[in-house]
Amino acid sequence: MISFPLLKQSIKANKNIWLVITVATSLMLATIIFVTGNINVGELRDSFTETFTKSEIESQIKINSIDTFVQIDELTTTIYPEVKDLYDLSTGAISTYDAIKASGSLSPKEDAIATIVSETSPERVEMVTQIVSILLDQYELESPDEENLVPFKASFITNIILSNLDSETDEQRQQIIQMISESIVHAYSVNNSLSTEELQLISSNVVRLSFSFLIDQETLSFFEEYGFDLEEIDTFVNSSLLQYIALINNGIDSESAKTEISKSILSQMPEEVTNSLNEIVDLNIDHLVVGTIFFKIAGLLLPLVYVIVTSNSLLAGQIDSGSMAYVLSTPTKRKVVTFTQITYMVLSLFVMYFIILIAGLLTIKIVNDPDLMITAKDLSVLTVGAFTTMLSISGINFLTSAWFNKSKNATGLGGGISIFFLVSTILGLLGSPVIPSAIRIDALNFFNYFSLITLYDVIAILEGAFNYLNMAVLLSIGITTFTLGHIIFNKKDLPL
Amino acid sequence: MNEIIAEKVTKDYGDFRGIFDIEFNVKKGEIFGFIGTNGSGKTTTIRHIMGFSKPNNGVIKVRNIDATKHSTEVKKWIGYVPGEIAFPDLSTGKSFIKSQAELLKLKDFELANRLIDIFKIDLRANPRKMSKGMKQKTAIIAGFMNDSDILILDEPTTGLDPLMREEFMKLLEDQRKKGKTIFISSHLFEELEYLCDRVALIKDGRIVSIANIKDIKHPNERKYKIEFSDRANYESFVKLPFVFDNLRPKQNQVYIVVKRKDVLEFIMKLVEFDLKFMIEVKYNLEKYFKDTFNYKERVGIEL
Repeated sequence: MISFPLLKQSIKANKNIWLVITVATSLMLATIIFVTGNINVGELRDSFTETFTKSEIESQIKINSIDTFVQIDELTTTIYPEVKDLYDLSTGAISTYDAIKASGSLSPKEDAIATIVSETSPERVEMVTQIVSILLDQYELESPDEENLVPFKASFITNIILSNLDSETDEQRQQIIQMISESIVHAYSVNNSLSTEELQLISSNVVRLSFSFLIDQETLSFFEEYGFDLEEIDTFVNSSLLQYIALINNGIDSESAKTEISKSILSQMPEEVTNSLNEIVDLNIDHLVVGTIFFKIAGLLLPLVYVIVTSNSLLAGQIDSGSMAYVLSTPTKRKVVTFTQITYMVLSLFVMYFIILIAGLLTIKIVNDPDLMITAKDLSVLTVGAFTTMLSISGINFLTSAWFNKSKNATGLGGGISIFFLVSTILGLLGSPVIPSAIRIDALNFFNYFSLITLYDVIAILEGAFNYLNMAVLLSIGITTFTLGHIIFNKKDLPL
Repeated sequence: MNEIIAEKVTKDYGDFRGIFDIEFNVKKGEIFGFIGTNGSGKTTTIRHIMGFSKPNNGVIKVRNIDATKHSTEVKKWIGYVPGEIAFPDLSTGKSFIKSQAELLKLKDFELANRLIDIFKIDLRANPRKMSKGMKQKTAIIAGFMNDSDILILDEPTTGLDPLMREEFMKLLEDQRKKGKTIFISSHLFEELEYLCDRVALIKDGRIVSIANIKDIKHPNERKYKIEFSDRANYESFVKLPFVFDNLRPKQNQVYIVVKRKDVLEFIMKLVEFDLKFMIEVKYNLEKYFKDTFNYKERVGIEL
C-alpha cells in the first residue's frame, strides 16, 4: 500500500526542515520548563499570597475569638445570678457562724444553720441547709484567714456549680465554667454587684485565657507557620473583643459588629478587585506558561510551519513543478502515492512529538524541582493532545495540497486556515480565563470559538481531565481531511 | 499491430483550449512524431496517454488497454521523458536516478550506466541546480534506463547542444532497431523528418494532418527552379509541353514539376538550352504541411 522509494524521497526532501523544527521546538519546551521550574517567576505573586493569607488568618482569628466570646458571655450571664446567690448565702452563713461562735455557743454550726434557715423561704430550706452545712464543715476544717476568705468562697461556689452540671459536660466546658465562676466571685466580692460591662470584661478575659486551648493544635501550627506567635494572637483577640464589646454596647447588633471587625484586606476592597487579586494568587504559572503558551501557541507554531511547508511539498508542490511526473510515470498507483505521503506526514509528526516529549521529560528530570506543578504524566498527555491537534491541521493542509495544482493556492488556503487558527488562539488567549482578569480582555475570548486548537483543552488536561470527545473530534477531522485529500488526488486531472 | 490508439480524444479546457477529436495510432516498432507550436496540445495529448488526465470524450489505449482507467498497468511498458523538467527534491542526480530505479523496481543498471557514459553526465550535481541541458540528459536517462517497449518523449531534445542532439538521434535509431515503439513530440520539423516514420501535425488542439515521411522523402514528382541566360532561351523553353508550376518572365525563371519517370527525358531536353542555373526545389515535411494546410484552407475546411 505504500511505496518505500517514494517514502525515502519524502524523507530526504523534508528532513532538513523536520530536523530544524524538531530541535527548535524541543529546545523551546526545555527552556520553558527550565525557566518556570528554576527561576521564581512568581515573586510578586508570592508576596501577594503572603499578604492575603496573613490578612485572612488575622480575620479568621478575630472571627473565632468573637464567636467564642459570644458563647462564653452567654454562659457568664447565665452563671452570674447563681454565683451571686451562692456568694451572698455563704457570706451570710460565715458571718452568722463567726458571731455565734464568738458568743461561746457549744454548737455554733447547728445554731448558725438554724438561724440561716429561719430566715429562708420554706421551699429553699432543704437546699440551703445542705449547702450551709457543707460550707461550714469546710470552713471549720480550713479556717481561712481574712485574706484567704474570698478564694475559699470562690472555690466552694465553683465546686457547687460544677457539681450541679450535667454529668455529660466535657472537661473543656467545665474548665471554662470554673474560670467564669471564679472570676465572678472575685469581681463580685469587690463590687457587691456586677454591671453588664463588667461581666463582658470577665468573659473577654476568659476568652483570652482559654483561646490557646480552644483552637486545635493543627490550626495553631498553621498560624505559626505564617509567623503568628501566641502573643500576637492574644493581641488580635484582645483588640477584636474590645472593639466588639464597644460596638455591641453602642447598640450595634452582634452580626454586623463581627463582620465589621473581621474584615480582611481583601474584603475591604471592591469585589472585582478582590476577585482579580485572588486570581493572581491562584494563578498557576506552569499551567499558563507550559500548558497554554507553549503547547497551544509557541510549541504549535513551529510544527505548524513544518506542516504547511511539508504538506505542500508532498503533493501540490510536486504537481506545480512537474516533478510528480517521474513517480507517476513508473507503475506506482496514485493511491499508493497519496497513501505514502500521508504515512510520511503522520509518521514524521509522530516522531517529532515523541522527541519533543523526551526533551520535556528529560528537562523535568534535570530541573528536579518539587514545586514544578507540571508532571511527567501531564507532559505526556499534553504531547498526545498536541500531536492529535497537529494531525487534524495537517489533514487540512494535506487536503488543500491534494486539491490544488498550484503551490501558492495550496499553501494560501491550507496555511491561511492554519495560521488563522493559531492567531485566533493567541487573540482568544488574551480573553480566556487562564489570564488573570486584571489584564484579560474578555471580548477576545470570542476568538476561541473560531479555532480548531480550542478543542485541545490544555487546562482540562492539566487538571487531570482528558477530554476524549474533543480529541475524538480532532482525530476525526484529521482522518476525514486526509481521506478526502486521498480521494480528490486520485480523481483529478494532473497537469504534468 | 497498434501499440497506441487514440479514438476521438477530447479534453475541453474552455476558451477553445484543449484537444479535440484527436485520432491516431502508433504501430509497433514505429517512430511517431507529433508536431505543433507551443500550446497546440502536444503535451495535453501526452498527459492523456500517461493517464494524468481523463478525456471528456474518446479513449486512449496502449496495447489495447484503456490508458485512463488502467494507467498503472500501462506504465509497465512505458518509458517517459516529460517536457517540463523538474526533479524531485533530492540532493544529487545519482540519488534521483537511484530513486527512480527503485520505483521502477529496476535491477539491471547496465543500460543506465551506458547512457550516463554516452551523455557524459556528472550525477554528483544537485539535479535542481543543473543546467537545462544537463537536466534534459538526466531526464532522458531516467526515461530510457528501464528499456521499456514504448517510449513517450515530450520535446526530448530541448536544451541539448548539437553534439548531444546527435547522440540522442543515434540512441533513438538504436531503439528503433530494437523494435521499440516511440512517440515523440517536437516543434522542430527537421528533427522529426529525420527520425520518424509518420508525423502528425497538431494545431489548436486538432490533428490537421498525418504525414508519411517516406512519401515526402521519395515523392513521385520533382520540382526544379531554372533560370535561363536570356529571354530567347526562356521563351523557347516555355513552349515545351511541360507542367509549369510558376513562370517568372522578368527573371527568365521557371518552376517546373516533373514526374519521376520523366526526369531523364527532361534533363536531355534541358541540355539544348543555355542556363544560368538550375536547382531542385526539395520537398520537405514543413512544405508538405504548409501545402496541406493551404489546401484545406482554400477549400474551406474548418481548422
